[in-house]
Amino acid sequence: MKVTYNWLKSYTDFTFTPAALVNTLTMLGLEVESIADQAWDFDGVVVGEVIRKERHWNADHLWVCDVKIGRRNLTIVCGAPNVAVGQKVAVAQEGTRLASGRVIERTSIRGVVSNGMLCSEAELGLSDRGEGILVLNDDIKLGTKLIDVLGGRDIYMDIFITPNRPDCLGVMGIAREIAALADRPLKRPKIRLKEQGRRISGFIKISIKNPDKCPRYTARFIGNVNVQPSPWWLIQKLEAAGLRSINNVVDVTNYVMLETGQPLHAFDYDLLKRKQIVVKTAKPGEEFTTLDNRIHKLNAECLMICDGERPVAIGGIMGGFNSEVSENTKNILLESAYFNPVNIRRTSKYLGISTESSRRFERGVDPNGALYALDRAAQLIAELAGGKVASGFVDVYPKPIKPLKLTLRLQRAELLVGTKIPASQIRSILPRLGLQILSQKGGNFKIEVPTFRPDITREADLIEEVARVFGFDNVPADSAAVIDLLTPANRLEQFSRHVQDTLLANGLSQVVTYSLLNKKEAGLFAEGRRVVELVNPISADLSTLRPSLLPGLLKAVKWNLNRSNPDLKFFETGAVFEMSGKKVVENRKLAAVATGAAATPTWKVRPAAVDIYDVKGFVEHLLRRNNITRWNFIPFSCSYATTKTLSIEIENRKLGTVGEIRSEVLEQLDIEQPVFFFELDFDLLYQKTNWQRTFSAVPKFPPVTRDIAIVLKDTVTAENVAADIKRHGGAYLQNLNLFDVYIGKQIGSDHKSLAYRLTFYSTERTLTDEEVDTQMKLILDSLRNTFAARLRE
Amino acid sequence: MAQSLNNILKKLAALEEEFKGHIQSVDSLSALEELRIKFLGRKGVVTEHFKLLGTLSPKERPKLGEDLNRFKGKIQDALEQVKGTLKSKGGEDGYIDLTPPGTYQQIGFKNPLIQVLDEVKEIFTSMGFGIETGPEVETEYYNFEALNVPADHPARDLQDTFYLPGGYLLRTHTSPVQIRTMEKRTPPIRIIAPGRCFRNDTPDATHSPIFHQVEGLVVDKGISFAHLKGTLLAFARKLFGENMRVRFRPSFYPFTEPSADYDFSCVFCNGNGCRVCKNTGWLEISGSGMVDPAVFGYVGYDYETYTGFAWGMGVERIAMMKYKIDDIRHFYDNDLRFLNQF
Repeated sequence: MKVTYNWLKSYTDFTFTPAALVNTLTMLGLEVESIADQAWDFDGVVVGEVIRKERHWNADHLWVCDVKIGRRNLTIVCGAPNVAVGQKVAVAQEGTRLASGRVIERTSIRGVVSNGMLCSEAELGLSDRGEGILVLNDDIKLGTKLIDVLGGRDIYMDIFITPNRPDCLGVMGIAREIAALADRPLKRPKIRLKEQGRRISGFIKISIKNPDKCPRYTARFIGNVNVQPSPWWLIQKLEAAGLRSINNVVDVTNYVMLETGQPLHAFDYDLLKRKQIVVKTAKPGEEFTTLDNRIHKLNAECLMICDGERPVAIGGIMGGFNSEVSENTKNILLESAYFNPVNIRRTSKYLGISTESSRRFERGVDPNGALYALDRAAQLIAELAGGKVASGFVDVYPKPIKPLKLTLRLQRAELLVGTKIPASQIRSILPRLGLQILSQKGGNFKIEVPTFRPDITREADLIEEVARVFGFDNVPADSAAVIDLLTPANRLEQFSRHVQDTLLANGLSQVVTYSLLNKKEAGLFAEGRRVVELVNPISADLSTLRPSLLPGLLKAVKWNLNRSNPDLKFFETGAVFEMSGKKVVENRKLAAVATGAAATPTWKVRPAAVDIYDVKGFVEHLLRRNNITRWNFIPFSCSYATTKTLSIEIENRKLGTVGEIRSEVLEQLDIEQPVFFFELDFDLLYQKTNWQRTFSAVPKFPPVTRDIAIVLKDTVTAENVAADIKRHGGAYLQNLNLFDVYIGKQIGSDHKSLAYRLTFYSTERTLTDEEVDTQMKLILDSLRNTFAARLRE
Repeated sequence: MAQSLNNILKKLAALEEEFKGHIQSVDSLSALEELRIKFLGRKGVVTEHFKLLGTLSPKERPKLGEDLNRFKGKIQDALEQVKGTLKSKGGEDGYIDLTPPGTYQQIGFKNPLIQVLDEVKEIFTSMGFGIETGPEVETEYYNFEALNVPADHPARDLQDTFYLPGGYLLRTHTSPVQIRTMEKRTPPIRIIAPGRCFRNDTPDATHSPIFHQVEGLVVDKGISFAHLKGTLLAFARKLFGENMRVRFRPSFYPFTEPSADYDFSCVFCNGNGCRVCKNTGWLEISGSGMVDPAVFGYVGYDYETYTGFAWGMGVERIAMMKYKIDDIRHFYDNDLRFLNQF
């Protein structure tokens, strides 16, 4: 809600400076989002009187005027058609800088020296009206600075109104808050309405067919209006509030809405058929053209204001093109109604129209404020458009909405707020907000809630009002707490940290990527699952929920490759999504990608490129760190992973995959170097994690180590060799470490050499060389027999 | 098969020549140590030869023993001498360029968002809070209705929601976890709920359609707004230092009554006023308040018996304040040159 400092001040006498007012409003819950100084800049403009006017001897359309400013007279050449002797006008003297930036100089205009300029509203930057000069009220003293006539400098403020405070969608509502805090009276403009002529019943018949959707409809008739542009002060107010000026009648309805929060509508009475208003719901499928000349298809919930034959407005939302007030309008039917907030909200959403009016009605306008706004607007229309207000008004209000009565317990307020609140404070605060105290018994207050506060329906709402005006700052911070020492440890959290720390220690960086992808990226990793598409995405690039963490990680890879960071190892934990029947299923995953050098290159070490064994190692290390001892790797490949990929299982359940991303997939993501990955089921890993660790004795006796290098066919897997060695290693073979794999000329084609270090020890005694030699012979014999292996020389 | 004394002595002479050859080419202390082990180690050449003594006749033994001892002495002397030489001209105290950088195992970097999230969790855990989580895909009921945001209520405009097929949506806040927690437990409740949230906001320097929140909820007998103030003050000081102040401003959230927005004193200027805080001295953090009676109604808690407070907190915002990061998109770009600063 946009307001100005002076505008607020016209409804209540406060002494806050603009800066203090901003703070005051903010601390009341009316957050000032921005403030700005008024752009007016006309220091040298003063009020003068035209005392003589003659036609310019050398130009038909120009006048030469003598203008009196205090004791001085100035000769000024003026081209305005409306200039007249006796007018009070705005005189820009020599040296004045106008809103447009133009500086007024003493100049000769067609041979006559002009000592300034008589200004129009447009030239002063007050409005768009530039066709004639601004004519001021007669009673203004000559020589007065124009800025003082306009009420001095003003400050624009944009206040965020929370959806619970429709009353503050009117300047008077905001002023009421300030008045309450400052303990000053609220000055509501008095109605001075002159009724004349026939009674309104002679002009219009009004009925409501759906009183649930329109509980109240009031109207007045104003005849013989003169529709024309609004005066500058009205335009100023509308513009300050961000509204556009239309004409004096429409502007008054908007102005009174800005003042009171009650939206109003003016119909061209002569366009209403059969001189009737019927409030009823639309026929489904019926079409209606709103005054912005757009056609809407209605449904059965849309509440329409109809004349005797057809709809003329969408109730509470927008008027119709067919009954709009125009320059030719002579007679006005002015509407001030109360519509059901939920129905307005639904219709507004359904039709896709949100207006100043619908915004207010959907939040809840004061049903009992309709008449004040109606009269205020009728009065202003009569004043500005010269109309005659017919006697009386229509008020269809079958079930008047009564103020709510609530009980407020002081004790409860103190409990909820957490501090002592004197009863005197409550007696002082509530009435200032319009909350009437009907009675008090001890600490119990009976309160009547005015209908302009639809947000207050319960005791808790009253307590909020007390706390708000009492001041949140005046509530002490209580940092004492009763905590339950038996709060169970969060295992999942501990597990997450453990996983995180393990991978970080392996040199993988923890990243955070978007859960939303474009559909194509998501599809690359969907593997036959149905991806979840948003019903209302921001853009195609953020339209699909990730079915895997890999595309997001690969995008992080791409981002860095494009910025010359070639060596990358990233991991992320997070949710992935897929459709299962009509359900959206969410699963937690842990995934990583690695590319470039396996470690940071230094002057000492030139690390090899990342390969499958690195990512496999990350997974194996993670499993071991989680005290998982058994798992199986099974050869695997899929639409996004090459055959250099393994599936990993724990107790016959698939934990995930580890491998290499296919180059075709990388190409689609503009990545030009090999990328390896793993992706695991986070929850399964958590379930299989063994939290129990049991000590086993540290060996007391020295170990015996033996190295062997064997040559065998390259189709024999290292896994099978290791299993064979373990099978024949005896009770004292404690550790087996593959420390070299060689393929090359020295051993001939189709062969490879595997080198192992075997460590033997006993927990009971020192082993002899002979014992170990015997065991080694058994191992070698088996390797020879099983794999046709030979010792490498 | 036993060897003759002559053969052994011949072999010994050959070994002596071999040793001489080796010792001349030794250029480092480690090579010297290798040589020592080869000749004098437990399984070294000399040791092995001493074992042969047993295979000889008693007459022959002294000769071999003498030779072996002499050989052993020579080796020891030579090793000592070379060791001295190596030490004096280079070796242990010789010139070496020590200016190349030291080497280490680079561990991974943690996105600052995760670091701050971890820190927030640690702080609240230390204050006796448990950690609860909930799904990112939610229903209207948990995300809105049970939080007292009925359909057709303008409060829904406060959060632009992403909708999914089948009537699901992406949670717009972590507040649904409040409901899920209260549904399965009875007071006292003292939890935080960290997690990912989604809003239909176009990404820019301060908005992200995906962001992280930490929700907090405390429900017990006698819980007041003063406790809410105390809790967030304690948090602010633990995270940002003992000079922090917290300000509460009245606001509106359907699930709290009274509702308050809370601000931390500006970390950029210590609350003195600067460009970042628009000269107010305060930085807006998020919303909070006393749990609305309607919310207790949905989960079946008695509002006369229990009261509670709740708050939200944007993790990105806190991280941006903590590290003075100027653009929220950095968190999601994961540029290594960004990550390696933390």
